[in-house]
Amino acid sequence: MEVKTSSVMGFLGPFLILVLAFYFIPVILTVILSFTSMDYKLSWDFTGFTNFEHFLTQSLTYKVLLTTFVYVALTLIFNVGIAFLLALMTTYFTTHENTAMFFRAIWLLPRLTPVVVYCLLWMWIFEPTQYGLFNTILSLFGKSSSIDWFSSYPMGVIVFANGFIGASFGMVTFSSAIKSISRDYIWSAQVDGAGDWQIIKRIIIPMIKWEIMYIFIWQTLSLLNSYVYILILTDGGPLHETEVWSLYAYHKAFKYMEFGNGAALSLFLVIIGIIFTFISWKIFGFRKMMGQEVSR
Amino acid sequence: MRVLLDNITKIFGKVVAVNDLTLEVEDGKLVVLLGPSGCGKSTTLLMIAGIYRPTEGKIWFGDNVVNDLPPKDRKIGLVFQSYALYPHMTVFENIAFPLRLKRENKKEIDKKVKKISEFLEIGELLDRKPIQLSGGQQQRVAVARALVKSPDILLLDEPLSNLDAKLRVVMRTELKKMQMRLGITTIFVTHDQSEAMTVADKIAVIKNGVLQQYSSPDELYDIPKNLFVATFVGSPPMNIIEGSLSFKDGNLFFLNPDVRFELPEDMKVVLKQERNTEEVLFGVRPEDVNISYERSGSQDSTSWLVDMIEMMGRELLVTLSREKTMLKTIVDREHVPSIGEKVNVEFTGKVFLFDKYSGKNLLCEE
Amino acid sequence: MKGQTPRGATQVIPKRAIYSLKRKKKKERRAQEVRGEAVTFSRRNEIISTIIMTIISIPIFLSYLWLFLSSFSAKMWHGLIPLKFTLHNWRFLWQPIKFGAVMHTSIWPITLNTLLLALAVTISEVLVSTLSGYALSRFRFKGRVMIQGMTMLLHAFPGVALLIAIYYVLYTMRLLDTLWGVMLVKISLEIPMSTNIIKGFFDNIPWDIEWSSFVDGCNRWQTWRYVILPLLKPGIAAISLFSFLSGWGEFLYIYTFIFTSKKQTLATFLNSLIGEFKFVDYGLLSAVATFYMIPTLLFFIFTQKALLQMSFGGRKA
Ligand SMILES: Nc1ncnc2c1ncn2[C@@H]1O[C@H](COP(=O)(O)OP(=O)(O)O)[C@@H](O)[C@H]1O
Ligand SMILES: [Mg+2]
Repeated sequence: MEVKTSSVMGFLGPFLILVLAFYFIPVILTVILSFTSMDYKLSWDFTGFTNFEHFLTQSLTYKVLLTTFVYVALTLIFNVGIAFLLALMTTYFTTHENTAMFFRAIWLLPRLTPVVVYCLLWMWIFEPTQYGLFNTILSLFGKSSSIDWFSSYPMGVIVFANGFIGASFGMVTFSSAIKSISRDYIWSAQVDGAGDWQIIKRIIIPMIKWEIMYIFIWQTLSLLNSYVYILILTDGGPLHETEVWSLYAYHKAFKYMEFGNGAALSLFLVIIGIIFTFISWKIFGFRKMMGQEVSR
Repeated sequence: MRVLLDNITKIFGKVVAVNDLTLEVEDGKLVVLLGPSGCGKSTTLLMIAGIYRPTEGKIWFGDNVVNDLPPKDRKIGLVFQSYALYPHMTVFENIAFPLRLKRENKKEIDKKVKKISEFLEIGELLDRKPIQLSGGQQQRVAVARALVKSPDILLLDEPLSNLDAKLRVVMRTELKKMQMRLGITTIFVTHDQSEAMTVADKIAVIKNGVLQQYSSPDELYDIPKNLFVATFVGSPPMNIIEGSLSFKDGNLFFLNPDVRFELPEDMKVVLKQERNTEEVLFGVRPEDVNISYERSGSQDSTSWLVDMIEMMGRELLVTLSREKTMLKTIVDREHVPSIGEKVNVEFTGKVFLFDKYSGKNLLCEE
Repeated sequence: MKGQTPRGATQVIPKRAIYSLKRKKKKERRAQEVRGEAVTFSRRNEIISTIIMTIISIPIFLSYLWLFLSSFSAKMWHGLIPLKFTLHNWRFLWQPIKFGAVMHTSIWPITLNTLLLALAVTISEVLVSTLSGYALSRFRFKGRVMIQGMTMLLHAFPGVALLIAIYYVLYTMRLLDTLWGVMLVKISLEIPMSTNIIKGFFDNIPWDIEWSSFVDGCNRWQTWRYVILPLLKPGIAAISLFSFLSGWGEFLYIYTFIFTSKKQTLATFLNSLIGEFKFVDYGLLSAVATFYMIPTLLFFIFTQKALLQMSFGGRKA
C-alpha cells in the first residue's frame, strides 16, 4: 500500500520521536560530551582529548579493562555453556515431559523477578555467615568455618548472579532450536550407529550452530553493557575488584559527577556496540541470503 | 535375515498404535506394510529399527530376540520419508557417517562410499550438500547411506512419497530391482496400494494397528479376506452393493431391488443353504463390470443410467445408477457412452460376498 | 515434523485393559509412556542428566523457597529450615519501618508509584508499538527499510551505555526527578524490540484476510476490531506482560534519575532497606521482597505455559 507521508507519520510519529530523543540524540551527545569536562554544574567546557589522555595514564583503567575481560569471559561460560547443557537436558535427555517443564519453569523465574529481589536472593546465597546457602552446603560437607564470599571471591559472586540470568535466556533459545530438529535426524543417526555423545556432537551442535552464534554475540554485547546486578551486589568493590568498564563509567558520572569523563568511557561501549551489531548483521544477513539462494 | 514379529503391541499413552501384530518376513524377501495413514505402519517399522520398544511381544532377527538391542547393533539400514539427510554434511560425509562411527579406516571408507555411490549412480554428487540435490537424488543418497554398512535388513518408511508422481513410478521399479540384485531382506512401508502391488513379494495390510491380511499381491487381489482389504486394494475400488442371498430352484441368487445376480456354481458349494436370507455385501471390481448397448428382450435391459464419465488416461471410469444402487465401471475409449444414456450391465469376472456386519469374506473358509 | 498423520484414526482401547497391561511391568514402562522412547535411550544418561540439572538448579530453587519461608519465620535453622512462624516480618504493611532513628515512608504510596509506573509503561508501549508495527508491516513508504534497519540496530544496542547523555536530555526537558521521565526513557529503550515483535505478528496476518473482510462488508474500523485485533492478541499479551514486569522491576533509571524519596518505587525502596538491614534482619527483607514479588508470581503461575512456548527476548525469526 502506497501511502502519504502524513499518515505514515501519524503511525510512526510517537515511535520516531521517542527513539530520536532517547537513542539518537544520546548517542550524539555521548560523543560530544566526551570532549568536555562537564560536571554537576552541567556546563559545556570543551577540553579536547583531555579525558582520553587522562584514562590512558591511569593504572585503574587497565585494571578495569582486565576485570571486564575476565567477567565477560567467565559469564559467557554460563550464558552459552550451561544454557546449552540445560537445554539439552530438558529436551534431548528427558523422556518425562513434566520434569522438563518443571525445570524450564524454574529457570524462567529469574527473568521475571525484579532486579533487586533477584540480587537479594544472591546475597543470601553468598551470605558470609553460616546462614547463607553456600556456607550451609559447605558445612554439610564438614567445613566448619564460613567463607566470606563477597570479600574473598567477589568476581565469583557477580559471575554467578549474571550467569544464571543469562543461562536462562540462552536455555529458552536453545531448547526451542533443539526441539525443532526433526526426530528423523536423531533416529537416523541412532540407526547409523551414533551414541548420545556423538549425536550431540555431530548432529545437534552443527544443526543449531546459528543459534549458538547468535546467543554468543548477543550475550557478549549485553555483558559488556550491563552493570545493574554488579551495582547492587558489590558496587564494584571490594577495592575495584568487580569494577567493570560500564560500571566504571557509571560511577564516574553519577558518583563523582564527572559527566565528561563518564561519557568518554561510555563512548568505547557505544563504539563496541555498533561494531558488534554490524558484525552480527554480516553474519546473519549473509545466512539469510544463503537460505534464500539455496531453497529456491 | 529372517524377521519375526511375535504378538507385537505398542501403546502410546491411551492410543494403541499397533495391536497384537504377528508377521514373518522371510530371508531376502521384500515385504510391504500397507495401510491408510495413522494405522501404525511407521510405529511397526520403528520398533523393528529399535527406536521404539514394543509394549508387548518379541521381535526376532534370525534366531535372536532383539528387543533389548539398540538400533546401532541391529545391522539395519533405515530410510525415512523425509530422507533425514544431515544438512550440514556433504553427500560423501552423509554416506560415510555410519562407517565413521564404526571407526573404520579412511581408505576403507572411501572405497565403500565409492562403490555404493556407483551402484546407485550418484558418483558425481559426492561433494554437494543435500539441499543442492533434487528429490530423486536425495532419495538415492538416503538409500546409499542405509546400504553402505551392508545391513542385514533394509527398512524403508514411505521412501517414495516425497517424489513427484512420474519419478515415483520410475523409482519404485528401481528400488525393486536393486533389492532383488542385493537379495536383502526389506521392509517397505507405504499407504499407496499400487506401489505395494508392484514391489512386494508379500503385503501386510494393516488397519487401526491390526493386521488384516498377509499374503502375496495376487492373493490379496483375488482373495481379499475382508471388506477392508477388498476395497483398499485395487483402483478404482471395488463396487459394494447391499442385498441378500436366496435359493430358488437349486440356484443361488444375490438379490437387491436393483440387482439380481445368479451366483456361480462353485459359490453354491461353499455357501450352505442356511444362508438363505442372510444380509450380505456383494462386491465386484469395476474392471469386471461390462456394459452393452443393444436392446435385448430381457427385463433388465437398458435399465442402468450413465451418470458420470471420468477420464483416466487410456480408459474411462463410468458411474452408473439405478434407483438406490451405484456402480462404477471401466470402459475403453472405443465404446464411449454418453451421459443420460441407458445401458445393459453384465458381471463378467469374479464376484465377492462379504458378511454385512463383520465384513468377512464369506468365500474364505477359516 | 511435517506431514504428521491425522490422529484419532486409531482405536482407543478401554482404560482398564491398558491398566492391566501397565501393571504387569510398571517399572519398566514408566519412562516410555506418551513419547515412546528408543531402546538406545539409556536410562542411565537420563538419570545422570536429571541429577546434574537438579544440582545446577539448586541455587534458584532453594533461594526462592527461602525467600518465602523466611518471610514467615522468626528464626531459620542454617537459613534454610523455618523454626518459628511469625507475622512480625510483615509489619511494614501496617506501620512504617524504623531504622535506628530514621523513619521510612509507608510502603503503600511507594507501591502505588510502582504500579502506576508499570501500568503507564505497559499502556504506552502497547500503543506505540502497535501503531509503528502496523505501519512498518503494512505501508510501503520511503525510508521504511532504513527505519527497519534502525530498529534492528537499536534492538541489539543496549541503552544503558547512554545513561549519561539521557540524564542530560531529561535535564533539558525538565523531566529529571519525575516518574514521567523514567517512563519515557523506559519505553523508548524497549519499543524497538516490541515493535519488531508486533510487526512479526502483522506480517503473519495475510492481506487476503483483510481484503476478504472488506468484501464481507466490514469497514476499516470493524476490520480492526473483529479481524486483526483477535489475531494480534497473543502478541499484545506478550508485550503487555513483559513491559509490565519490566516496568514493575525497574531499578536503574529510578536509582539514577529520581532523587525525592516520595517518588521512589519498590525497587529503590527495597534496595535502601537492603543497605540498612543486610546481615541484620533477613526476615524483614524477605517479607518486603515477597510482597514485591506478588505480581511476578501471579503472572508466573497463570501464564507459565504460554511463556514457555514463546521464545521471548526479541529473537527475530
Ligand atoms: N510418539 C508418539 N506418541 C503418541 N502417539 C503416537 C506416536 N507415534 C505415533 N502415534 C500414534 O500412533 C498411531 C500410528 O502412527 P504411525 O505409526 O505413525 O502411523 P502410519 O501408519 O501413518 O505410519 C497414530 O494414531 C499416531 O497418532
Ligand atoms: Mg508413517
